[in-house]
Amino acid sequence: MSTGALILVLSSLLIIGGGLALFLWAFFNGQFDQIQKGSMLPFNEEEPAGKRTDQIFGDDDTLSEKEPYKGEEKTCGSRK
Amino acid sequence: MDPGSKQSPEYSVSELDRKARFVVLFLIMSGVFWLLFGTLLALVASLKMHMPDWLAASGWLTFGRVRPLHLNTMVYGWASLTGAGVALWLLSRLLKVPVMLRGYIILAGVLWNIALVVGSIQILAGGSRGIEWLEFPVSTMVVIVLCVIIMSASVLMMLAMRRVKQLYVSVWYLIAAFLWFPLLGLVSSLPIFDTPTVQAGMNWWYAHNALGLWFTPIGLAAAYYFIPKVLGRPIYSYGLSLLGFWGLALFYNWNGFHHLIGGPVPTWFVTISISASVMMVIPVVVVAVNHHMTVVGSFRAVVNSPTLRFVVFAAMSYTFVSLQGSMQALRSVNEVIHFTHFVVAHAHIGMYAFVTMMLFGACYYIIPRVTMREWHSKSLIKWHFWLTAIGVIIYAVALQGIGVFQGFAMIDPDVPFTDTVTMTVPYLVARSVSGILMAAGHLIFTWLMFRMVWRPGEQPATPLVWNKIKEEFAS
Repeated sequence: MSTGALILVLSSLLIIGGGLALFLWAFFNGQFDQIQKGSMLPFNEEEPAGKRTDQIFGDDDTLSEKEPYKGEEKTCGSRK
Repeated sequence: MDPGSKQSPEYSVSELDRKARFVVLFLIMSGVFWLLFGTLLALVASLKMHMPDWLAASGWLTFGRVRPLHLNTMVYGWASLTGAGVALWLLSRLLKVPVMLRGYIILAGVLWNIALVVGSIQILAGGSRGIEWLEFPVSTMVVIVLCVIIMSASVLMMLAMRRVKQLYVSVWYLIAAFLWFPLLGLVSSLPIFDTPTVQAGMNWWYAHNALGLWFTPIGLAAAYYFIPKVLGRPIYSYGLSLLGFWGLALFYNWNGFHHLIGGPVPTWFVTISISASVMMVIPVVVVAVNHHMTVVGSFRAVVNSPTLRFVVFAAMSYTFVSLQGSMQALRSVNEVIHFTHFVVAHAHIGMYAFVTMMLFGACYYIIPRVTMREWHSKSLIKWHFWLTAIGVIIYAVALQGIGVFQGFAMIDPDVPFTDTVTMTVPYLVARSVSGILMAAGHLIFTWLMFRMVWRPGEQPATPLVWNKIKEEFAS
């Protein structure tokens, strides 16, 4: 195998190995302990969940009549 | 205790946006300049496909120079600079710390732009490297990679100083992107790929990974942020979103070698690549289900939001182009569509319908918040969306449609080769028409951005919620 091909293979393995190392760090760092809470991270007190933004083309800023968001219990995979 | 809580004060989102303003605007506006330049080159190259004598007397305007420069300015000018701006803004928001090393990033941005100018001149002068996606001279690529490394240092500092313990899925994608791209860029710039076969292997290892490990993470990070944010509704399944990220991290980087099916490379290289390409179905379907289930039932909110119009279109395109890519990697499919316009359209669905549309959507959300100004015209935003969306759909349908017939004709020994070329001409005209539509959309976008940044506009006190802005304008 030429040097170039070897470098390509090693680089590919480095990317996969780096991904595995990152996964192990995340696991032992507690990143997966409360996994469902992660879905709330884009929201904060200034821009809370339940409030639409960016509705420039319409006047309706209420949540969907079909599937209103009612709290954290409906955040992750449990929405009907 | 949250990491960094001792070192950095707590910032409101408006403070974070204000601190990110100049860096983000500089990177995005630089990207917009290259978008216009790259669009002009695209139109010239497209017209030359069915008018080959046009501008043929000028060597620097021949297809072999204009087309590679279009690709490189779009990839390293528009998409990379704008993507970096969007990524840094997202990280600042999600890690709750200001963008770090802002002065160094501005300096890096200036050097990046200079390198693009120098590289463009060299390609037009005939100095292309002749490697697809890597036509810029090595010196230009090295400068770009060093600039990204400066941004990566900023990202790692933000990560260390963050005021949240748990990392949102968008942060995972972005950290990975800022680690992966420097590796790709540095390896591809090494002077060791000196034989044609190995160079071809490096070519598609790099090019495919640049799309999948640099632009795709930025695009998906944006989708995972803007869809829930605009809808005011958390992502459907956070667990699935993480599965999608780790799937990309583990399966993607071997995909590129499927471009070499039929080539003189070891069979196991290609077979592993085909397997990895098919395995990408898992993270892609996971992402698609998650996005769909988050958006379902909120169609009106998508239509009413300039950001979500583009972002949802882009997310759907990601699903489509990724599943198509897995299918194209199969030997039986590849032997038909290889060397046809089908693949060209596939690349444009990835880089335009997914990446570029995602960046447009991100800009419509970010720019009002960092400039504290309102967009100049709602109707122009709608025009921008429809021109670009219809343009890229025409492009994809025309070229992929004829690409299949072209492929079957090329493997038919009874069909003269010239017939496989002339049969595509009407569809190449359609490609130019679609290009004109997209170019018109880009002009509108540029005008809107120009108005936003350089012309005094309305400056509401609270730009964070669109309806509040509208109420203030109405009063």
